Amino acid sequence: MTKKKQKKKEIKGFEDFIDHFGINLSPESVAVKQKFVSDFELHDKLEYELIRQEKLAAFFTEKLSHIESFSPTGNLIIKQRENKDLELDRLAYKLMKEGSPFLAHIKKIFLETFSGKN
Amino acid sequence: MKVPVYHEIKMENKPIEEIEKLIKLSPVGSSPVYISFRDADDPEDVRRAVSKISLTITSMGVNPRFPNPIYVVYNGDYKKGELPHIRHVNELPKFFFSKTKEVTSKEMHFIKKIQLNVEKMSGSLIRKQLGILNKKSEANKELFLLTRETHYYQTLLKLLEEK
Repeated sequence: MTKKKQKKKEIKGFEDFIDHFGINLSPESVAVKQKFVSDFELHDKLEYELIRQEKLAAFFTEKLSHIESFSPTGNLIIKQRENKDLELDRLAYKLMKEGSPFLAHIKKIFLETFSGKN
Repeated sequence: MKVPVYHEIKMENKPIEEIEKLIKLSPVGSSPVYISFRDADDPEDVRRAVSKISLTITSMGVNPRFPNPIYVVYNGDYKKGELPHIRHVNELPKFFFSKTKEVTSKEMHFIKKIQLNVEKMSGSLIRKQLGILNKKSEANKELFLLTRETHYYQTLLKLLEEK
């Protein structure tokens, strides 16, 4: 067994630990490590780009078609319009009721504006 | 097949007749591209050139934003059109800046898959789908306005009932 292989066998299982604490970082090993990192830079970029493109393709080809076919917005608008009309009717009824604050204020304004002049 | 990194198109003082040819020869759509007007003096010339580029890109069936972006780099102001405008190359998204080297087989596999996805998204499909998205956003806005109006009436009713 060569010296190198023997050393590799000795540190088996401790690679992460050695990496984490930067033990035995000879200039050669640093250079090797840097080369390893730069080798994977493009690999990682391409992987991310592929994920980006796949997500875009899924969005444009599948998700938007689903949104078009099964969107609940149209029904929600109809329901919300009914709700709005109902609330408006209730509000109008409350405001027009005899003795309501709205009518009292309107009466006050009319009296203040017209009663003195006429 | 190429690694998807920025491709620069230099437009400095190019006559308007040459623009169409230049754009058609460039990898717009299949790769991220920036069109540089670094030394252009007259914003009106830039505006004219950008609208010509925009027309050419549309006629080629390419969308200026998806799947690969096309940027206009010009440090002045011009009347903006469809293309995304930035003032300096440094402002471009860093993601597509990369050192090119010989690719491994695994990287080539990624590039082929990326190319397949790009081909899947044709310009006409994206235009159609963005139209749907705009329509849906308008419907959502209508729903929001209706909900806000209803909420206002409900608040008034609550105040009246408290009195």
